[in-house]
Amino acid sequence: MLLNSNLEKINETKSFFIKKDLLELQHWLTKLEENHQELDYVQVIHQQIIQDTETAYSLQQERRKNTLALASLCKYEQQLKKVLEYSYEVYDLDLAHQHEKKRVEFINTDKSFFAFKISFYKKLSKYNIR
Amino acid sequence: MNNKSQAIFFHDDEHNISHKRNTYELEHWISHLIFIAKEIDYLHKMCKTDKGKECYFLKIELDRNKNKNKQLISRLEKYGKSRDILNECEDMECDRLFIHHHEIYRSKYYRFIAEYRAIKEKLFNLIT
Repeated sequence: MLLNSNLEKINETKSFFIKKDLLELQHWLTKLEENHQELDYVQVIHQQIIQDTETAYSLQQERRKNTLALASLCKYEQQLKKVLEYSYEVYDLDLAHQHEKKRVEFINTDKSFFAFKISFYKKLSKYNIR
Repeated sequence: MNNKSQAIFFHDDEHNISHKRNTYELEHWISHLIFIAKEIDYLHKMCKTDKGKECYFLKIELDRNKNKNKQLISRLEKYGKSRDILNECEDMECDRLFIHHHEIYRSKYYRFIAEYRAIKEKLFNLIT
């Protein structure tokens, strides 16, 4: 009886943590999707105004990084959902570390996007817009 | 970021892990807002050309957002400093209070980002 109630408590805590991770992950995915949409705008501005190979190349690179990060986070989302559904262990350090690794991945992608945008704006400010 | 003190260890309990994660998150929010401050200056310049009333109003909205952004950065920095006393928390209530505060700041950050994004979209639609 006591063992059962302990197991229930462990599972409850674990579910809570995984749900929290999933919520945070959802925000990361939304942010990366928004970055993707913004890249579409940037591409239009580039085609209309800047039109140089270097920017076109970095734009492509940025889009690739963003897509890869999105794919990796989507895969992680599926893993977490599986753990939430099927596993009956404690929320262990491996899960916490995995989440932190994904956080670093997300932050690096986002920071690279910031850097790209700043260099894009710098270039754009040299042109007279219409 | 103080990686050594903020790394997650085997002996950390659920609250400690939550606090450490919240600290990482807070740092990213602040660096994003600092980037937005720079971005607003560039967007302001893009709106300089003769685009009539729409551009004029967008510039006003951008200025308003710049002020809001500045205020939010200083609030988050203050909140970050207040988190230094986290280690002194002795009961669950204190831990929960910090986690609750973090959620309040999270909603403030998301609300600002959503507003700012809407303005940016208007501007991009105007110049493309």
